Amino acid sequence: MKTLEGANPVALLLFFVYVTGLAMFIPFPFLIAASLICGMGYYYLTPGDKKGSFTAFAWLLFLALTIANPIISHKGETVLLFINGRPITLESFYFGLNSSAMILSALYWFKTLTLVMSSDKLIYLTSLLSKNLSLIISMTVRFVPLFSRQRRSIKQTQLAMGRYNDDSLTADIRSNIRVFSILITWALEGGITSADSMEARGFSLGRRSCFRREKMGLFDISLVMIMSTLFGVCVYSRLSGGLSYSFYPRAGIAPLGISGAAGVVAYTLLAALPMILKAEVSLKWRLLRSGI
Amino acid sequence: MALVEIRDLTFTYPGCSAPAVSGVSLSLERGSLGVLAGSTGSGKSTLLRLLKRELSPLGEMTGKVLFDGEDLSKLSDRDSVCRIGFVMQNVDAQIVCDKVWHELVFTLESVGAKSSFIAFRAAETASYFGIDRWFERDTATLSGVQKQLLNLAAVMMSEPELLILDEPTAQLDPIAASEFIRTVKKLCDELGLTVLIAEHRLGELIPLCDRLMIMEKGRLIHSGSPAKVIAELDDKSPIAYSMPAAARLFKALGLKGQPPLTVSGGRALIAEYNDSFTENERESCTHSGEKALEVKNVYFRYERNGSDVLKGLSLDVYKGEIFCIVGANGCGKSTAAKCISALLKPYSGQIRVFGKRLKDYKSRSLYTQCLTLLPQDVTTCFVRETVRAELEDSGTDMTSLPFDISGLLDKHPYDLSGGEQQLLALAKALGSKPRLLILDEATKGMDDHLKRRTAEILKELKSRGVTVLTVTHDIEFAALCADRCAMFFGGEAVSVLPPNEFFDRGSFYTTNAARIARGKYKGVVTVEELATLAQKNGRRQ
Repeated sequence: MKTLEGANPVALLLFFVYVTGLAMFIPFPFLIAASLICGMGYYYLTPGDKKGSFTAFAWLLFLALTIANPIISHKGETVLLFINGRPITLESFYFGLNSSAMILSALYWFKTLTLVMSSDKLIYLTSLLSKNLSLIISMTVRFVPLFSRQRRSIKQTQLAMGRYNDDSLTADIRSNIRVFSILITWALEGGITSADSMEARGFSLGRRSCFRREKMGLFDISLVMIMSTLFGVCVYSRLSGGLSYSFYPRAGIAPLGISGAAGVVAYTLLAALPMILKAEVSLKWRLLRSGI
Repeated sequence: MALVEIRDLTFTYPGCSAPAVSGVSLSLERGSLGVLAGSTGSGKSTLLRLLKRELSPLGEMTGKVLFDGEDLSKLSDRDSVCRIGFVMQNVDAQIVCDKVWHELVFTLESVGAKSSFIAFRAAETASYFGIDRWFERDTATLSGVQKQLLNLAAVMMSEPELLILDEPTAQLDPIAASEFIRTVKKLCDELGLTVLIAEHRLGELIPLCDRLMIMEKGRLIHSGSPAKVIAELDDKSPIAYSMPAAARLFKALGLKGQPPLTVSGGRALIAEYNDSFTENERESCTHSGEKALEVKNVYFRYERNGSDVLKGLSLDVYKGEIFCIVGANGCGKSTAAKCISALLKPYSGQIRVFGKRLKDYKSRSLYTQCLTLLPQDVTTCFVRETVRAELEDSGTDMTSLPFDISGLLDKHPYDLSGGEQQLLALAKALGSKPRLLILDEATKGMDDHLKRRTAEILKELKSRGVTVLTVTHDIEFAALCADRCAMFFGGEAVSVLPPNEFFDRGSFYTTNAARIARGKYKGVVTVEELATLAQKNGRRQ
């Protein structure tokens, strides 16, 4: 009973690589539509983050890009109207719509990625590449918020001790520079202690092992296999010409053959996978509860 | 058999003429708890670092350090890492990783242990130290004592035989410090761990330790059981103030022999005295009646959906008094100090400073010759490279200070000891000539001698007309200087009384001297008061 976020980070990362990679390299309108719908669904079902401002930003960008393409590009046969003597075509509008839907879906996927890929998952993934790199990332992730917190409290202290009494801008800038310089000293000072602490705990023995809490279980392996199969179907479908379309000079989608239909279904399944798993978990949970 | 044996150890830093450690010989039995005391710069840290090879400073060393009968330098690298653990003073900077569990497994990862072994050790260590509840959290979100417990647990992961702690509680408040000390003692008792700990705050540690060692100017001047060392100790040396209340009482009464160390020992001691006078005469506390600070029904919370940190806080501070707010960790004391200093904005209620509402102080005029807040973390006060530049920066005239820091002028503020940093921060705060001085944990990292001096400094400031509001965990300090004390609980000030009544009333939140005098004498707060009263009564024949 696991969702995609609970799976091994390798599976999680692979999911995002597959789903965004396919949408970017096969901009077939049905695929893009599936990608956008599932991407939005996954994003809004994932807890955390203030969703309103992102939604507004993403859709404004979508609108702007959709309108921009027909204004810039004048290819295509069906002329809708003329602006300043230049044709605005339906094909160009379709193309813009498709591309900006792709960008919008990618935005949703990546935004969700930042929500589900927590720092320890990221560190796990880098630890597969290099033990020391993952340690550096872990140290950085700890240090950056510490640094900004110290900056805030130094400024607050300086204010309460009457050090920002001049309202002049130059005085403020000067004291900001001073705060920054002492922050560097503070960081170096802490760095010496951190180095001592690492040394005392044997960092330079040079036989580091890497303790990982995540394991690759049966669930993760089957998840990876299912996703890879779906990915393979999509790629095959594209290579065999099943997903063909054109925008210029006339917009059109060739009738879907068996391979094309398989590609669309496979992609939709892949993109909907996190939601399917979520639904399965909550359904199972409800059944278990009703059994009590 | 001794686990650690030091023979005639002398160490000189490069470029220094005088040795930092000279002619020290001592041995520490297995399973014993040794305490190393001494003022700042007495060579404690250097000595401790010489016992941990990875941290040993560069310099000229003569003499021998034996660990488990073998020369320390002959120990294998892995043994040196695993068998000797070292916990430092700086709570934050010792932590390396971002997740608690990752920090915990650091040592075992370094020595290349197998994953299954690491998982087992992490599980049992986390359970023992009570870390399991915050095992998954970010290290940055922990409280001070949690961080230091994590540092201790991380060192204990490799099952060391010798644990060295260099002023581990200097950045903790007294309650957290005693929690930490108790954990160390528990390790010592339950695992047979040998512990060597350097400390400023000795009152609580001494009754628990097997061996007390006192260093002065690089030499080991006393070493032995705590009762014996205290009996030998010169009453006028600064370190004598740091001894447990019962022992200080014993010496103040001019008795000879083995002093008691605990409160019950102290109670047995005063049981031998008459009780014809039960109370010291004292001047009644008077104040002008003019309010320096007026807080009325203040409510504050950090987040919209969070719970209230201040719940209807009301208190008045009169001009020219020293007002202490005491209370447990996280009860909102520091938040109250920040609200009063206008760094945080309460959502309801009113705060007046010298009769004027906070929002009527326009463009930071509140902080000019009016109110100054000295924060808990005093390192945030420092922005320059030397003490001299710091004082210039704040416009402090050194001759006007009620204390002397002229010996520190060319040092970097970060190189000062915790207590010296507090004094420098106070000096900087006085630069803006405040009429209301707010201190948040002013005695953090101070030894008892310096604490007394700080109490005197506050009294001196008071006589110059400065009103002082101090927020502190340190009950002994509050007893030394307060005109009135307030107990903070559940976001409000529960009771506001002068110290002799305040500390007479409670039995948990009170000084050790008051605990000793309980039921026999009234209104006793400090050891000196108790000794005077006992002597006045005379000993039973």
